[in-house]
Amino acid sequence: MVDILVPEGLWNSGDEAAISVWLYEDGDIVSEGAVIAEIMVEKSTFELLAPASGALRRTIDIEVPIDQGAIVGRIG
Amino acid sequence: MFAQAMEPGTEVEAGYGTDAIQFDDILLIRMASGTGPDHIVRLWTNPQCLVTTRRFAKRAEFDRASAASSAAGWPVYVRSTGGTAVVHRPGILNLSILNRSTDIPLDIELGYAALLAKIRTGLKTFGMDAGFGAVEGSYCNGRHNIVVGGKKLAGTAGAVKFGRGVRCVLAHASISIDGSVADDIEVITMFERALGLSSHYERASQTTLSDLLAN
Repeated sequence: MVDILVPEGLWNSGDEAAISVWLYEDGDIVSEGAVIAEIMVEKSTFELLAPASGALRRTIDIEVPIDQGAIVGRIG
Repeated sequence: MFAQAMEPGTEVEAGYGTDAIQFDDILLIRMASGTGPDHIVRLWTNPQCLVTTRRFAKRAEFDRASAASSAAGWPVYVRSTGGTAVVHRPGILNLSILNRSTDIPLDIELGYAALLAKIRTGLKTFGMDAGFGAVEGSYCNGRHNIVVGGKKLAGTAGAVKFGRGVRCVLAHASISIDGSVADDIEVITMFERALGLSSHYERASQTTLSDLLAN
């Protein structure tokens, strides 16, 4: 299993971030590099890319605050 | 005059609905693929519509709220950048700036700074200046609003896209040139309340370039 990590260094650490949309359902097969979710920070969106190919397991819901570097899912 | 002051020699594109909105994404994808220039500035208008985000589009009430808005003459389209809902219409000028860099420090803050710099250049023509700031009571509020005299003149939003070894940043602004802010607020409020939100916005929080010139 490969952890899906929130990217670091893309926005100010004090800003609140959350996954605004998951683009795949739990259990869907995703390809490495695919955009699997959208993270929203204030009015900016950032792509969350799949770090590996395999079945997606989402471990965090949309609109729940997330920190940079946090694990939000797994693939494998 | 304002458009030419911001970006001399650039034609203002007359957009049409979702195509005009999606063109920013097409440019961003192209940029991330490594093709085309590293820097693009786009000035464009759109017929009246509401533009919202994927976040709102995922709400259970979205289809019904969109249908009602469309029936009232305000079709609803979805953009890739963040925020809530805004209006496009004659009298609102959109400014999109896209940048590509292989330097990791190219971040979204620089995208917003570029928007502010262009708008300040345009406002200088009229002897005015602007800054960033959240404005309580304004729709689609955020700390990167473009503010003149304490009132929101333009809303901004952005998106970051990665390509092979490159980072691309899209930042765009919807600038209220003229027209009725009160009517804009009414349309947005009705849509957001139909989505199940308890939205309330203040007319006094926002302004247009025409209003500023008249005062």
